[in-house]
Amino acid sequence: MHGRVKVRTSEEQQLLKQKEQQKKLIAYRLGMKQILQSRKPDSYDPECLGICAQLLIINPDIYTLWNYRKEVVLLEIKTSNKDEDGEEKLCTFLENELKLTEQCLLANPKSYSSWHHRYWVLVHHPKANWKKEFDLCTKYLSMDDRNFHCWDYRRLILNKVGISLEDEIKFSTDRININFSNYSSWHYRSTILNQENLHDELKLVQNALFTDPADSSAWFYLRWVLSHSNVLKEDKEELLGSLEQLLELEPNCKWIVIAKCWLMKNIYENTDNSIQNQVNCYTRLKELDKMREGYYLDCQKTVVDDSETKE
Amino acid sequence: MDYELPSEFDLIVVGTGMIESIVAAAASRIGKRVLHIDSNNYYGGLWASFNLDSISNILNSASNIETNLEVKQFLTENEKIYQFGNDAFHMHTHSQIWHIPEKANEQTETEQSDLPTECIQKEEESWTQEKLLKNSRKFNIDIAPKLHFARGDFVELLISSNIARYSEFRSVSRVLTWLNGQLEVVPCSRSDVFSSTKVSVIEKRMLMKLLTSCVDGDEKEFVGYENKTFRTYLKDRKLTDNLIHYVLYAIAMATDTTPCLEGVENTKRFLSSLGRFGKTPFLYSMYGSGEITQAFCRLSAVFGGVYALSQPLNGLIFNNENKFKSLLCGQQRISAEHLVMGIEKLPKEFVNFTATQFISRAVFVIDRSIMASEKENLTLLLFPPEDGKNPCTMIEVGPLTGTCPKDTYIVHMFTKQTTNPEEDFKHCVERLFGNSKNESETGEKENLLPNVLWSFYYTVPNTVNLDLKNGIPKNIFVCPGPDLDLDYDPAIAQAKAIFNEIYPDLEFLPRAPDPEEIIIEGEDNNNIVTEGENLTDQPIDEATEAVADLQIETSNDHGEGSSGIEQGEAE
Repeated sequence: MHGRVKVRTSEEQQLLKQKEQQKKLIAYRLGMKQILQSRKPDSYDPECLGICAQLLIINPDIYTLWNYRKEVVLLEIKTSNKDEDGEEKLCTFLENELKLTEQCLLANPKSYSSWHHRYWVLVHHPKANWKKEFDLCTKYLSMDDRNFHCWDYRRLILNKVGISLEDEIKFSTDRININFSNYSSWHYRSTILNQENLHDELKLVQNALFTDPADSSAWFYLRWVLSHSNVLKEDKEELLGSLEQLLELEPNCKWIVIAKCWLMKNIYENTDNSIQNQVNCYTRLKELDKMREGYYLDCQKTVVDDSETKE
Repeated sequence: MDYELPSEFDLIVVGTGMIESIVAAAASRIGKRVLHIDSNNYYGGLWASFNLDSISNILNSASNIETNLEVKQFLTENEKIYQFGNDAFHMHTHSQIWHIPEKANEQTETEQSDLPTECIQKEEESWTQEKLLKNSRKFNIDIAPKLHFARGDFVELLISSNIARYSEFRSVSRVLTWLNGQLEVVPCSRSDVFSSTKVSVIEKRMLMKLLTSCVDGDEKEFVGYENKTFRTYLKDRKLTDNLIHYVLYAIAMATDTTPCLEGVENTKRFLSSLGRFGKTPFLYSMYGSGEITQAFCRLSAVFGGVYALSQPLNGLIFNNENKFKSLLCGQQRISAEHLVMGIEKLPKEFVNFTATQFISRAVFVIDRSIMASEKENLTLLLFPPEDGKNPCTMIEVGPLTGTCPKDTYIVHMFTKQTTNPEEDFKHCVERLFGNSKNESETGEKENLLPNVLWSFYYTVPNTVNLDLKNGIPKNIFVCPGPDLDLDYDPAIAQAKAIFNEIYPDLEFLPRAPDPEEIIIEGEDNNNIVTEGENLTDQPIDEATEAVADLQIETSNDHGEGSSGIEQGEAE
């Protein structure tokens, strides 16, 4: 044992942790009791508001406390209307609220209540700085682009700042270039896309499909793009051709076969040839994806039934 | 010398190169008494980093050996003494040249007054030796630059041993190659392949498929390729010429003759390090690769290793059985069981091997990046082999790495030597760098080639594959110098081998505790450990008892159930 520095064992560390948790629990119970007892419709106790902030930093998911804070904010707005330099005071107060949500989001970046409170405060802010908020989102998403809360938040703010949709598309493209296996990223794109020009969009999604055909996110985005009536027929036909090539390289990838069905139905409606092709595809899918055999069987039946009723 | 070192150690390490430093750290870490000593006044030996001022002096640095000293007086009967150092394994400078005027030329200054302001500004920006040397201390020029695979042996060792605390890294931001007469970014990760505009969608699939099969492919994939080249394999996989270039010369860092399985291994090494830190598989040490040796020295010192640089090393003393006994430092005899030393420090009498392979190296200080872009990049450029020239590896570092001042970049080149460094890199230098004449003649601001401000060509013997045991006394271990590997993998393997030979059953660099894990006096009931010497001499029984007390006490708060078990274990 020479030369070994004495270190805490994991058991010791665990005991220390347990002790700390006990302390926290007692503090939490006391704090909650005090806040709830002081809750009144026409005034509030600043000390309790302070305790409330401390509790939220530890656990930002207690929505009762956020509601308490919203009541306090509304009280502050009421008093500020009576005062001459009330607006200035209100701004300082609201800035503190924003800082609190920042701290809470650091503790738990996926806290619904914190994101919501932040937006709610900004909406009630007489001098809300939406641009700064927007830049914060950009910074946040470059650090973690898998947080759909932030994507949603960005979309809310987009309406408040004068950002052109083109710039926003460029941002979306940059994010997708960095990582295209991201449903949030593709979904955001679908909400801001100029649906006039879907040619380039098909090209982009094709890059993803060819880079990694097993990644489902791009296939779902493809389905969304194809759902638009203004996708040109020749673009669709070209895509179908590429998919055939891709299938030669990856004969066991179910997504390619599924996408072929979407396309054939979309392009050729119900010509006999197309129906036969679709039926074949579903037969292949039943082999490739045993778990969803029943679903494909049903799809196959629908294709055949539809064609018969039309005749 | 106005101070004395202790005169007894378990291990003496002479020279502060990479392998020596790792061994020193590993030995201190398991409680051995280590003296790490160097005649140089800097850390790192052949692996060091220098500022611009001192790099020109590295080879003429005056040795500390007291030549007039009558060494015989320190010997007992039957002992022999050998002088340190040999000429065979040092680096050899070919040229160190300034490509800019010493001072701002006064004539041009008078001319300036007639020129439009724009030109004057440009003239102000231009570099002089004086101006560059004023920034000398902002340079950290590696003489053995390295990159680190994000999941390579080196990074894993840093993490597992907790040495990562002593070092900072920046991730390499792009990997380039020379293709069809220009620099091209190598699409190496999934997102690069996706966003690359240089390859078609079909190529994207082919490339991704190949890369996946190199990583996940079972043995069947490569049956029949045992005696074929990697190039043949890529051809058979129907890759286009551009894709073959990317995979063969950049990702696998191979040549046309590299065997298939070696190519696959290299590809795996590259790909498995993707997606851990940053966009490429590589990291670079902030403030230069020389920092790394010092991180290991630091760990050694934390665990009691004694450090002494600039020491007058006057010789190695052996008994009549040719066993190493002591080292003569100044006029002091210092003894140890074992001695580890860098190859360049080895006494001439023991040099029983010669280097057959050499590494050509060059460093350039340039005024802009080899491939300009919006943000500063940290670049690895893999220059493919051509016309009998070996492939060249280049690393370009900028001011953000803390190795050069603003508005300059450093380019390091290294390759297996065929003739001499100037010849070996001539074709690269011609294509990558320009000279200021081009600028004024063409007058184009776009696509300017960088100008070389300062250049340094040198040769280092590649000693990694030599039999360094041949004729060496049993308790001496010789560490080879820098090798051609991009990372420290061979160095770590060497250090580990030496450590295991000296201390066969002991753990190599176990994790060092974080400060918060160390129990300091006064904290926690009776667990008393004082800093310093007592740290290692803590009576074990007392400490175990204290832990047991604590456990019984606290477990009673939470119910009876578990206390018995815990108590039993503790006792």
